Amino acid sequence: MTILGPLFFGMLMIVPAWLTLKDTDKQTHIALFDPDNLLNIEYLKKSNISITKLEKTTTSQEAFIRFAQSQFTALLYIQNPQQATLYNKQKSSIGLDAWLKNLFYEHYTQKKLSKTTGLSTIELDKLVIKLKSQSFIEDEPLQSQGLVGLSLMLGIIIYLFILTYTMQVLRGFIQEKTSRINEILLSSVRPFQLMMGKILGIGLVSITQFTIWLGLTGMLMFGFNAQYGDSLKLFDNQHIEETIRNNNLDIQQAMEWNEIINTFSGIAVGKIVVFFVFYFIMGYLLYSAIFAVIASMVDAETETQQLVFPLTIPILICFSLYQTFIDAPESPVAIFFAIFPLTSPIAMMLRLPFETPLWLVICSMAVLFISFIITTWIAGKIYKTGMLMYGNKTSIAEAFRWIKSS
Amino acid sequence: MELISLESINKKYGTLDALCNINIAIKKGSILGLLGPNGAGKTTIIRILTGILLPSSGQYLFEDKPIHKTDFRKIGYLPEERGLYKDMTVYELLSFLGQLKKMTRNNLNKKLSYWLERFELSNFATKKVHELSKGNQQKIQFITAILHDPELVILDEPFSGFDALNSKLAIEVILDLNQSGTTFILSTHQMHTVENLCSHVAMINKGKLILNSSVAEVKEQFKQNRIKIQGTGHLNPHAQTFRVLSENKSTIHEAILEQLPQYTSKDILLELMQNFSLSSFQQVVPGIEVIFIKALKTK
Repeated sequence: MTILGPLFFGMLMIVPAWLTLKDTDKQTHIALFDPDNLLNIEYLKKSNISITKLEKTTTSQEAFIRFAQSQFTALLYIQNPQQATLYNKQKSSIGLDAWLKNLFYEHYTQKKLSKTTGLSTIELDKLVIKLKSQSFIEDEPLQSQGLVGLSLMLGIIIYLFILTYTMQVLRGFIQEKTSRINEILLSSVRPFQLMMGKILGIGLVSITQFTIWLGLTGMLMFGFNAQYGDSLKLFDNQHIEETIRNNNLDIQQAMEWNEIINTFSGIAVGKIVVFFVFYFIMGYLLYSAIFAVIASMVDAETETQQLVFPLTIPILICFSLYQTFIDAPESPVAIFFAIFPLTSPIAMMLRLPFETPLWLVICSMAVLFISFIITTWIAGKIYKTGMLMYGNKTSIAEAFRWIKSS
Repeated sequence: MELISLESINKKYGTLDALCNINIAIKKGSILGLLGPNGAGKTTIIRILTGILLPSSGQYLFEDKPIHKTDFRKIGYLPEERGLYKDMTVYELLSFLGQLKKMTRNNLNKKLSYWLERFELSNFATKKVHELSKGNQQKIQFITAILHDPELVILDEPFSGFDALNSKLAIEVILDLNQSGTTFILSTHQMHTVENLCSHVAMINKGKLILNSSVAEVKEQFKQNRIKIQGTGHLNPHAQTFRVLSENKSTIHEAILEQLPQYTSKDILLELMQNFSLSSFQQVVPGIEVIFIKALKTK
């Protein structure tokens, strides 16, 4: 570990940077349909984005047909000075979306400031193009910043859940080994039963706690809805225009509320809960089995740290690549982390609020499940021997010998 | 009838032969002393007996049948290295360990009350284990080995950590249970315990069984043809049947004689009585400790 430690740290810094750079090398081809010539194409220049402006004579229908038949990733349609729509063939375009919004603001502010004088800030705001993003394939809105926040929150929660409970399992194994009570327990139950009993026992505690939290959150949401539901309705898609008109509200603020409501009403809570439970349980079981191996290889809790640390590296890399998962969810890197069993619970949670292909979900779940079975089988063999070994810290080579000999 | 039979048991750890061809038969109702220097293989034998380890080869019979996993419930075990869940109460801990041995709730409660009472721990049932003194924790550990009425109890250094009073209590419990038919295996370095309690002895060295017999037979095997006498009179230095090894005339005339080959105790007695008035005449029998050292040296 003394030699490998710096290597791991290096990996932690180099791998995400390399993967991100690799990903940003990819070119995004956008078709620009701007019949009234409202946008200065110079503003859209970016190293990894190529823009092709469609002819002025093209009708909107022709523009859509051309876009559908071409290799363009997205079609940016500037409808009028206040409205533009980004049609996207990919499922995600958070990065592109944010970049364009920023550009429009710069473009119009400068344009109007140079041509017009005496305009108030509020009037100037209204001149900014409101960008609407939508999927070209399905008639569904693309991910919003609200969903991005939710995905990050789910990723962090599942990471904390898995870490908290698996550390409990690890501590339990070590305590039983150091206090030598395992000798009494092993005279009554088989090593595999003892190992699985501990893992499942703490797992059930975690599910109980999770259920209680879920129930309390549900009750809180129900109470909030009962109290403020009517007020929130004023800002939904059906009533927003009327609300702004009747109450003389700040449009920007009202639209932000509308976006929040749209985000939350669009969340498939049931799907998230089901996926969360699956990935939490499987992630917990997988990491617990690995921790059982670690516990049987050491003599004291302090010795576990250097064996646990390398395991957290893929998770940390996974979090550092978070933006890549959102911007390019179908890139090989994003797919690899969604399938790799040590990172799939977190990577899948990060991308869960967005559309994820069914094949990827099935593949990720299957790989995680099979990994759990294999790891538990190996862990059972190492645990059986390791839990009765005292005094020496076991090398990985020796642990492999235990697998062969048992 | 044999309760346990180990037949040609071998155990290998990688290339190391931890046990070589071990054959031990333990009679029902006996108390076997399992002896051997550190690292001899005693723990490995105990782990095989308790089902924690499987032998590499050989047969393990329980009541003359190959041992079945349910038979392990009939075995109680007190390991040398003591360990308990310190944050559980005494009642919770004993209940948990009793349940692992498939005790019914009724039986468990009945036995728990009895043993806590017997070991003077009734007032500690709701206390957490870490609140108990070392001696009381030791008693709890002892109870875990006998709580489920096992047919065989394996005690590894059972008296370490006990003061004289508690050791006496533990010995009484062992003898009571043995009286009612429970078989015991004691692994200990306290030779006087083996001498006082055990009916049989098995000695292991470097993974091999070097002694396995009843205590009486072992003593007979290691007796040194020495006789201790007390009385008054004169000991003939040129006697035909014996040789005087040591003599002490300070308070009472006492001597150790070596019985010469081809002569019996009766011959010595007859020759002695010509010049010596005997008040005591007894065969010197070596203690288990002497036998232990001698056996290690010779084998």
